[in-house]
Amino acid sequence: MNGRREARSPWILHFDTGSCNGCDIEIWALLTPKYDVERFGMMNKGNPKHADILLVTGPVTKKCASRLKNLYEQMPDPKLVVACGDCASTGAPFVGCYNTCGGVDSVIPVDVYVPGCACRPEVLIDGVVMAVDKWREITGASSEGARS
Amino acid sequence: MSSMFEQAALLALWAAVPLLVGVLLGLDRVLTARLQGRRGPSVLQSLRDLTKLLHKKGSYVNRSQVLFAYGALALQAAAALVLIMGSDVLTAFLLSGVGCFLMVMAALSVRSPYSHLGAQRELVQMMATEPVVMMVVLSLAYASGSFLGAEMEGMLVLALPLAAAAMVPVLLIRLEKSPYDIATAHSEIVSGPYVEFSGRGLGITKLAHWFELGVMFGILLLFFRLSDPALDLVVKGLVVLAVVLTTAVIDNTTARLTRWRMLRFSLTLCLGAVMLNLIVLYLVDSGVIL
Repeated sequence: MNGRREARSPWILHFDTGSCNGCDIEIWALLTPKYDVERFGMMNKGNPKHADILLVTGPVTKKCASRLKNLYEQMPDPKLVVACGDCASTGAPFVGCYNTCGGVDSVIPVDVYVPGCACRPEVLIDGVVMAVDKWREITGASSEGARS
Repeated sequence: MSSMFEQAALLALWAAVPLLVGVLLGLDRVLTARLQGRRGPSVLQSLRDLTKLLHKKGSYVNRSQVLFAYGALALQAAAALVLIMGSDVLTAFLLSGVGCFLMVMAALSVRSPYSHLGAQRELVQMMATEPVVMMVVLSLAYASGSFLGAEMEGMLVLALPLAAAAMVPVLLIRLEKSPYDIATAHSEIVSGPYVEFSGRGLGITKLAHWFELGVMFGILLLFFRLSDPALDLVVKGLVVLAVVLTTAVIDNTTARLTRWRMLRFSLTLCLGAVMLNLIVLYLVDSGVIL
């Protein structure tokens, strides 16, 4: 049972930290009948307190950094972060810009990096499934630790 | 001995209320997905969501928020127990009403404006449904001659068709569906009174809501009772499935209205339908008509 119950019901929070909206449109495409992520139990929640996985797009502008951190801190443990797209993963092509932090991992810890400009919906689903696998490992390990 | 067995079976049914409501909500999600041309989740998805939430620690803002949430669950569960054991239906309805009010108190106990907004919307929702359900319970008691659920025999829907029909919009509102504006509305005020709950606390409020839905479905099923237990079970199952299908179709084919239109519709047409039914029944009983 370890981690399995959580892995079947990943609730998602999406946050745009200054993206061009390319990746955001692909995230919203996940909800459409073609990709239908609800069949995996995934639901988009507009509330960090209800979410399990944070999908972040954009290179994280300096104005957004504190807000991203705030949202991350409001999410209950265990929580996972997926950086969606090249901007969120590495800060490219805005590396060194005066107004960006250079990727999500410069502000909060990231568990899965999804490449692409914009990232494809299929790869996004793959990224969330990887996050869910990691979640299984975390919850499995913590419950085994609690038992021993 | 048979009485003890019967009581044990009723207690088991009460314990199974969250499972049954969870499966119904899962079925509703599958139907909604199919209507939207999607495959949709498993029928058990709502139960998986609840299990996950109950195992997630989460956080709370203050102790009164937690106390109100557990109080709401206790009252809704007690209301469902009273109804299932065939006791006073009015007591069950009032207990459930107080349970809803405790959820409003839980939302008001934190200092988040979104939570307060959700609480106000929940109150409007209560104002829209509580008078209708109250009149439905009074009609059931008038038609059967008793407030005890166990003594409400026969197909009361034949004497009270409009009262039974008025329960459909009530269930639409309670199931938080279109065309009614709901407490857990879209976009910026998403999740309404539940906005400040997380993890286990959110699971407790969901469980309370499921027991509340169990009470509402239970009141609807009082209209349909047959002497043959097998046939009774089949008819009740079909009624519940028909209501879930109807609410899913209405939800997906109508636009969302404002909460004030919900209030106007509910307090005029729904309440009017129940009262008209009651007046006609009274006139028939006293021999004035027919």
